[in-house]
Amino acid sequence: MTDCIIAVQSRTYGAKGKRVLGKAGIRAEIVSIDPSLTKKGCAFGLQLSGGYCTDALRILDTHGIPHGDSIGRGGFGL
Amino acid sequence: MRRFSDTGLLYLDNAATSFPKPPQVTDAVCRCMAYAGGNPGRGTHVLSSRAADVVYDCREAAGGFFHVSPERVVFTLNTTHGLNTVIKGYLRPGDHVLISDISHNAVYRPVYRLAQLSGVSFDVYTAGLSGEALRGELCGLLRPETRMIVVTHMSNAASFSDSLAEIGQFCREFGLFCIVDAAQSAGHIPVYADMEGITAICVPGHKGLLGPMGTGMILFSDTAPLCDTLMEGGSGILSLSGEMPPDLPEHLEGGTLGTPGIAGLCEGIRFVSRMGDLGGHISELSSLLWEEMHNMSGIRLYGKGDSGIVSFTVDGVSPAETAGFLDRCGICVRSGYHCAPLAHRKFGSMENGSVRVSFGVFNTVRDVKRVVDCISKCKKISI
Repeated sequence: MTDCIIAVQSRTYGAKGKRVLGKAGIRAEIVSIDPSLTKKGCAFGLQLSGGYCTDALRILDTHGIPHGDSIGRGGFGL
Repeated sequence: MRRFSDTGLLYLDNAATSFPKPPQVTDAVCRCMAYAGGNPGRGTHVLSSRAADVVYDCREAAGGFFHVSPERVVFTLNTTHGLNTVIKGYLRPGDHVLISDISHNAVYRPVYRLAQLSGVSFDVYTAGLSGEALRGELCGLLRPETRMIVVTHMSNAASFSDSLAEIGQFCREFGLFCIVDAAQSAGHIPVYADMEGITAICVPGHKGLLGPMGTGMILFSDTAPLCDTLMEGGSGILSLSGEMPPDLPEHLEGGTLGTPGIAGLCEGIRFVSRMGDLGGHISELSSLLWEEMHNMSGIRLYGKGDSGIVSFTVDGVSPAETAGFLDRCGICVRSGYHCAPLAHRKFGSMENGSVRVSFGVFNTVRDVKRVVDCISKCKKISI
């Protein structure tokens, strides 16, 4: 079951985020985000499951990986 | 590994492009084309995702090798592409730039073009100086509008290197961009994006890093500002904007990347990382050849012999004829100006250029002897 999707700045940051989260034991998949949600065109996000959304956001911040909010917490905000 | 010299040919043109490549490199190219054939960063279906992982794997490998974050690794077609990107991306009309007297045309021509079109001016400094002599040289050429120094880390025309660490410090002190042409040094001698004062390093993938041709990289230091784009195009993100994405690497990577080449480059970097001091190996070979040729009459040597390249001419024989003779002996070398007229002017080989023997990681001492024997025959014929 999908917990949340965190929008990331690019596919490159998606890959970096996925690997950083993986090292912390959080499994993430890189997914396309509906362009209508970002209002800026094509975008990528990290899809998480297992209730780790808040932890994941903190870890991404710690590693300086630019991201938007997670879905359901005020939109993507990219 | 199967040696290319098994076929009877001896490849000594590694300054142009390294050969042979490790089997891991060619295998990775084939594997990528077979199993990761999607467009990286253009969707998330399985083949696109595999391709994107291939690309990011290489960013990580290069980032570790050159001491820079993976997202600050920008893929280019070659060093020339990288140098054009940063030189033209940072300089503005009215700016002044210093280039060295061992610059390749990949540095000289973009700067010359900017001087013609955009009111950029340039001066040429003497490479190979150090200490007070270097500082005096650079201070003497510095102007209020000086914005950049382009350092040619190692010449491609002869064994000759420049003082990267000192020039980096000078650039930091005076707030200048420090752009490094590491076409000949990357993979052979240490060069890192976190060295003091360095803005960006431009490297080929297909020389010392043992990757396929058509690959190169710009390694931007963590403090380097964003430079203007050389070209624009699709990036897979922010598609509704007329501008390129504001973040590296996508800012400078318009259009589809050469994923199979990048897959090969990644394995090349891993190979070089595992092997350790490859520069020491090729340096030993070129020094050995230099010594042998130094003792031969009728041979003129240029530059030095300690960085993998031996540049020479045979009295009474043009470089093209000498290279042709070596070719008939099954030895692949390059003759002429090696796209580096400034360097040939410095080394005194402007008349006809030189013959360049450039060693690679798979060459051996036996190869040195074979070159010496062939040049001895060439000399006898010329007498």
